[in-house]
Amino acid sequence: MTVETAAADTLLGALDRFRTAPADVARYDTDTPTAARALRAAPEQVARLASAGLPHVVDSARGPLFDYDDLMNVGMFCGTGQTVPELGLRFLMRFAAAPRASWFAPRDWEIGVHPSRTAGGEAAEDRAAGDGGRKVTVRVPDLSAPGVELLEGGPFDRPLHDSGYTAAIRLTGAAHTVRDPRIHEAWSEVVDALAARRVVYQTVPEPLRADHHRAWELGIADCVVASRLLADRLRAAGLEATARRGYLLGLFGSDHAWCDVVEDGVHKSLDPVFAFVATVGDERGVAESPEFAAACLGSRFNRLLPCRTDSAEPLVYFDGEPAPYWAMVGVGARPRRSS
Amino acid sequence: MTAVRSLTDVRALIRGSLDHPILLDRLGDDDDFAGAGIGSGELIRIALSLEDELGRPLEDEELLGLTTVRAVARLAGTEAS
Repeated sequence: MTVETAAADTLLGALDRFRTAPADVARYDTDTPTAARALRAAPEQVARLASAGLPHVVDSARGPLFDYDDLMNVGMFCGTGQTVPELGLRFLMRFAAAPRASWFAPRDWEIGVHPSRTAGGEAAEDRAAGDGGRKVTVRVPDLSAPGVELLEGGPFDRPLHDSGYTAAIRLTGAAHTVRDPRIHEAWSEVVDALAARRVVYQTVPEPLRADHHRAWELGIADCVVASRLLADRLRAAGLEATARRGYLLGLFGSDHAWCDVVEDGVHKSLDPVFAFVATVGDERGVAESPEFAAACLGSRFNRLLPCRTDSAEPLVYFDGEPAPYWAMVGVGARPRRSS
Repeated sequence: MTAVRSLTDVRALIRGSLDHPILLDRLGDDDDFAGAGIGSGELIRIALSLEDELGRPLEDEELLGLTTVRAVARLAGTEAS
């Protein structure tokens, strides 16, 4: 089933389940045909969203223009289990249901970071045609991070790389636990707020991610917001902590953020959003997994490729500005062929 | 549910998942999806279509193997050798 075949008002149910982007950070630049493609919906369904109150501006030539992050949240919260955002979360989190040993064993990946330059995706000829006038820069893998080994590609000697890249990388996970009560306290504050729905886990626009305390106070968070907030709490408690950002590898590569804390000289990963999703499960089809949720407090997974950032800054830029959410559709990942 | 019977049928399944179906015409059976410009949203729809065909969820390792037309056909149990 696709959303096209669902009832005409299917998408409307999402509107009271998330918070739309504040007007001062929203970018109303996505037209109805693009929104319909992104949501796999009919244009009439998108029009009904506008009528029902989804914020937009009306352009005399292009008609209603929406914020892309709002549209992704419509897709995530509409409850069909069939939209791209819902399915993406379900498929990427399926590794949590795999045997525990598979989370940590060394794994070789082929990664292609070739950000899309159009909101509707792009055909190969568009990619070959060049940057479409945009200067694209991307963050490179952090080869100094524990468990990250470059097998092919590079060099990655600067944090930002012009255009895209391909690389083969070995990721090795590690099972760790955490003993420091200060870490447990900060962790519980963040994860419990998400699990109790005091803070809604949803897509957050990049400008609001940069102001993560405001996002949290507004009652919304995604992986970047939660990880930056957790890192702040840990540093305030006297610990060495950093918000990290990179790619969750699986069926494709997805922008993801987590937190790194140093305990007893060992770098340990804290992933509050994975823990939240695995704790409560998800109506979109992600299974509950207490074992995986527990592993998110300290362990490093062989699916997370950290990139070179100082505090979970964006991974892709167009002309020096953070690229829109849709640029990520061009990030590919697959297990490396053994040939 | 209609059983997938051949690589041709698998290509039809994939075509229905693409925003730009023309990509498939240039894609060999062993060419990598991502390298050909097939994006994450399209991969998600290919995986969903395959789950619909199989009538069951794909396991993690199966999802990771969805990289070529032939790989999809293998998973569908229809590889023509």
